[in-house]
Amino acid sequence: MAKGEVHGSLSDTEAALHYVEWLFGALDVLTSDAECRVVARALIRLAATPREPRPVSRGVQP
Amino acid sequence: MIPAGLPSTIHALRTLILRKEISVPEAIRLQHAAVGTPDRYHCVTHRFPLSTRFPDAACPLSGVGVAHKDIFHMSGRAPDCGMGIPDRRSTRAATVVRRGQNKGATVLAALTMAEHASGVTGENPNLPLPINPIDPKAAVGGSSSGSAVAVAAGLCYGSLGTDTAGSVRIPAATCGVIGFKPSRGALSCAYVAPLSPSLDTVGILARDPIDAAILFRNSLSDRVGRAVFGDQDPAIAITAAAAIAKRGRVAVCMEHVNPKVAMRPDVRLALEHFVSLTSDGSAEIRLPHLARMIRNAELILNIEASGTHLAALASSRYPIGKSARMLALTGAAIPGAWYVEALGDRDEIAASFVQIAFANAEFIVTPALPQGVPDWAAVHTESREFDARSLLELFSWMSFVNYLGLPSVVLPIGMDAFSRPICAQVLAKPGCDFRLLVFAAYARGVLG
Repeated sequence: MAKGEVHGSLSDTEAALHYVEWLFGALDVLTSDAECRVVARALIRLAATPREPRPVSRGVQP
Repeated sequence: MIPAGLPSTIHALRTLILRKEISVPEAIRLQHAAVGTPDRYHCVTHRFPLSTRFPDAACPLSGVGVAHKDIFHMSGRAPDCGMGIPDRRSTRAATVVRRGQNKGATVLAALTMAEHASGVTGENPNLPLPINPIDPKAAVGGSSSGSAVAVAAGLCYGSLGTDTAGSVRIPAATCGVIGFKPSRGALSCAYVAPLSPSLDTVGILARDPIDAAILFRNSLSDRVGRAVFGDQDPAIAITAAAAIAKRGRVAVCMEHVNPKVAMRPDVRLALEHFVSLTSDGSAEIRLPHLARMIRNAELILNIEASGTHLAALASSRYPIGKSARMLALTGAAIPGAWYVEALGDRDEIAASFVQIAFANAEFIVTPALPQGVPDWAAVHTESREFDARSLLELFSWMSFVNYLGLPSVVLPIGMDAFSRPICAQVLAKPGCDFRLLVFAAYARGVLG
């Protein structure tokens, strides 16, 4: 694994799934594998949504 | 079916009562009997007993039977929230319900809903599938499914629901009734079971825009009610304003940012016809920040749902439905920084949206259901014909409105080839609820 690489060769989905499984384990939340996969996919989708620049503030012009 | 001997609208009923052509007890007994037996449309979860004391006929809602989604506390009964659990005690009624009762309204029943308000249809494994009075094969939207069915079936004059991401407007659109989501904070959410407090809005379903205005006025605090409607009777205020209204400055948005959300040609034609009848030169616009608003609304909904249902995630003893559980689980996994950003950006995005989208228009028209009312088979998750895209199309035009806190009304504007309603969604600037209801009443008059 190259220096600074966190997930090695894991795909985004696998990395998200690892995170979700770790998180729910740490929180003591009982979940099924299927639920973890759905949550991981939702996280990927939400993270991938293109973000536009913040709207320009309508503050007082100098 | 509206009970025999009763008119179809609140203002017509109130006129009969004030003329002493029908008494308050008679009107209430007819409505109470209609809600009672049998529950043909599978929309009632609890029928409240008939009181032996009736309100004074002069009260503005005296003789008017209403009902609400089973998410509102009532004095003596906690809401079931679609979980099918036995009645539990509650200490007091939701503020918005109590205000209606103080104005003479009679609460007839609590109505079915998706589990914990976490669904865009009325599908609920704990309850029989609600039946759409227009067409039994047609889906009933959610989560305030029973609220729309009861109004469409004529079982009550109006109902209350909650709208977190379209939960009043979607069922209204599937059942062809008026679905009014007021500006954020206009109606009290006190003693209403929460899902996502930053997005939750109490909304009103009725068969007529003037009825929606009457119920809205009488659900507001007196101070806010006077500020919005003045001292006039709401029916008179809206009717008079609609009668002298001219065509509005309307912008229309037909294109969704998500390419998967397409519009059926007949829905597009109906919208174009509606805008041509009601607008004084419309412009087609694209809604600014739409992708970002939809994402932010989803983030907020998920994270706040995880807070609402924290106990259910930690213990299997707390009952929670599948949809609510998935919302909460997803919310629990979303980084907190995304939530802070989504909520922190809201005021700035709203100001920018209003400045751009309402630059040359007082109202914005969008489709409500871009593919019309689907079959139950297409949107029921247990069906073999289930189509995820049909489900997406039900709520695709809804959640950003809650994020912005805009007032919005869904109203039927035509019928499709299957005799199912085609509805438009009309948006106004925050706080312009009165003007929006006037426009809806004017549009209803123009459409005939």
